[in-house]
Amino acid sequence: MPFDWSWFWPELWVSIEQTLYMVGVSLVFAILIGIPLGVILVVTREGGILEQKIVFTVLSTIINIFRSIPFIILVVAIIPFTRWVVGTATGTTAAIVPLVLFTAPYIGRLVENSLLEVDKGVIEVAQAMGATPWQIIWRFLLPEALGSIIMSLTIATIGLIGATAMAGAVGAGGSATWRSLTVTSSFKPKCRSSPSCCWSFLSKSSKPSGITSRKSCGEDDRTPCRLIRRPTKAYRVGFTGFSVL
Amino acid sequence: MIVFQDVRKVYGKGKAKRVEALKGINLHVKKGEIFGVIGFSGAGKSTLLRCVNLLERPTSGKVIVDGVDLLSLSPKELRKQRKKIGMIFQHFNLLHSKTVFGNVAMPLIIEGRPKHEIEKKVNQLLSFVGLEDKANQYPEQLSGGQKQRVGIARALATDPHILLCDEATSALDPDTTRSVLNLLKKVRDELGITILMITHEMNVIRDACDRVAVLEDGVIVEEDTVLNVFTEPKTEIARNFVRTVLNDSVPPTVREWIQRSRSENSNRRLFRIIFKGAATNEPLLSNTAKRFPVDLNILHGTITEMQGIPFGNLLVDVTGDREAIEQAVQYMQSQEVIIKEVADDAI
Ligand SMILES: Nc1ncnc2c1ncn2[C@@H]1O[C@H](COP(=O)(O)OP(=O)(O)OP(=O)(O)O)[C@@H](O)[C@H]1O
Ligand SMILES: [Mg+2]
Repeated sequence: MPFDWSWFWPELWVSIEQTLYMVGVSLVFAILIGIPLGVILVVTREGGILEQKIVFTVLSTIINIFRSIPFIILVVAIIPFTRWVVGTATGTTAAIVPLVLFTAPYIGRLVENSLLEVDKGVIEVAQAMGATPWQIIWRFLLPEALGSIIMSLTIATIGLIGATAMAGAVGAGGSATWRSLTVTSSFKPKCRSSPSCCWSFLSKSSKPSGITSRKSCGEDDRTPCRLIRRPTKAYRVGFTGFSVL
Repeated sequence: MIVFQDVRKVYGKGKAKRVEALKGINLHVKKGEIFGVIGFSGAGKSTLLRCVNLLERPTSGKVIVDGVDLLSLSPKELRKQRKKIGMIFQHFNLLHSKTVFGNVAMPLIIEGRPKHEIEKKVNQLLSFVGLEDKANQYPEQLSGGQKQRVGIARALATDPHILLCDEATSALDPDTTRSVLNLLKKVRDELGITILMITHEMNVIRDACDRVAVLEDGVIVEEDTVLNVFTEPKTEIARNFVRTVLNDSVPPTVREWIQRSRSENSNRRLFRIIFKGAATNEPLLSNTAKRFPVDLNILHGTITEMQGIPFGNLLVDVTGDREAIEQAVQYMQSQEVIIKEVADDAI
């Protein structure tokens, strides 16, 4: 069957736009939350300039919990919260909420690492100069770690893009949808939107793509799925994102 | 200027981890002097220095700087006091993200000084340390000696009364060390800043300090003027440090010869003669030989200079009859030299 290109480019364009929107907005929020998070982790830890054991332990634990939740589960788990924040649990904007909650702790950890790499001597210099804790953070720690932080943010962005692909789970559009659309029209996918695809894909992600989902889906289903797709490359990028974490 | 009263510092809690880094330090650094603290690695030198600006809080005791009891201050007051205490480090601790200018300007920015004032002060400081032309370079582009100069300029930015130096020259080669030490002396001479420096190199003490304390295992075991410690070290550790720069150990061939010839002639005795200052200008040995019926034979010796004072250390073999040797020694003692008999096996 000849491939129908008439819808291809507009769809591609739309999905690129959606992806950029999701990545962009989520990244901004995730950075706004993540960097302060990283800073707090560094200054409150034992031996930090504002040592606060309780704050550190609590924050660190929360971050660990968030980091250990696979994105797709996080998406589902926080649906009520998402609905409360943006009024709906599906769509591109709704996807931003889990994306932020997923990326911010990650950025927090990365920034923490970047800041910990800053030579202890620099902090000592700052203290010997009579700098306030705020000045130490703002004038010494962050500028000295800037290069490393930017690198961390690049890594976080890649993870975020991967997660965006999975955000198709809440009908976020973007690259995930686009992939499935192409797949739908050219290969007649046998996949219906069903959470089971998603779960089986999650649990058996090591298997070749599509095998599990094919079994669980109806034969002649041509409707472009809007919710759950078969595991395309984009999903695997998402997984690379996970494993980086 | 800097007074330590029974300062103790214990690191770690629990028996296993407990390290007593300072065990009751009493110290008095006077205004305008360059005071050195020497000790082996782990003796507690850095801890001691860091107690002066409370980068490390003593477990007990008092630290009084400029008449202010630092331990009684609030964090805010402490920050204010710290601005009067400059500090430089072994590894310079410059900000890599800032130029030389930015590094030196940092303490002033922190103080919230106006921009034109900062610019003027920084340029003045850079020319003081001889780095006018490097203002816009980054620390990576500088040599070790230049980095330390930046460190010094930065430490001086807030017009401190005291400069603390933590192994400031330990990462530098001998020539650079000398030029940095000269700069530190200039800091003291021209700006009247009191300097407390710690080091494990005795040549740094010799070249720069007025007084020195020897720190061993958290205790000051010896404290005196540099000249006195060099000429008459009282403790074994001080003697060993002095030996690292003044080689007064006798070469094996000479030692062998001494031991051989001593067993042949009982009328000879060995003395170590230490001259300092004006005494080195007098022809002491030849005077002695003229006055008394003794022969003097120099077996080994070194002559150096400390703070412009010449200082010699000779191993002299004195031959003659008992009486004459006694008289010769007494005469030499009256000539402001230190003279000590050296036992055979202690050469
Ligand atoms: N933060 C710390 N925690 C625990 N122990 C410490 C700490 N800092 C120093 N010590 C211990 O205190 C002792 C003195 O350390 P200090 O750094 O003052 O020695 P130092 O004389 O400066 O040695 P070096 O010449 O190697 O710098 C050492 O036994 C060291 O292990
Ligand atoms: Mg040290």
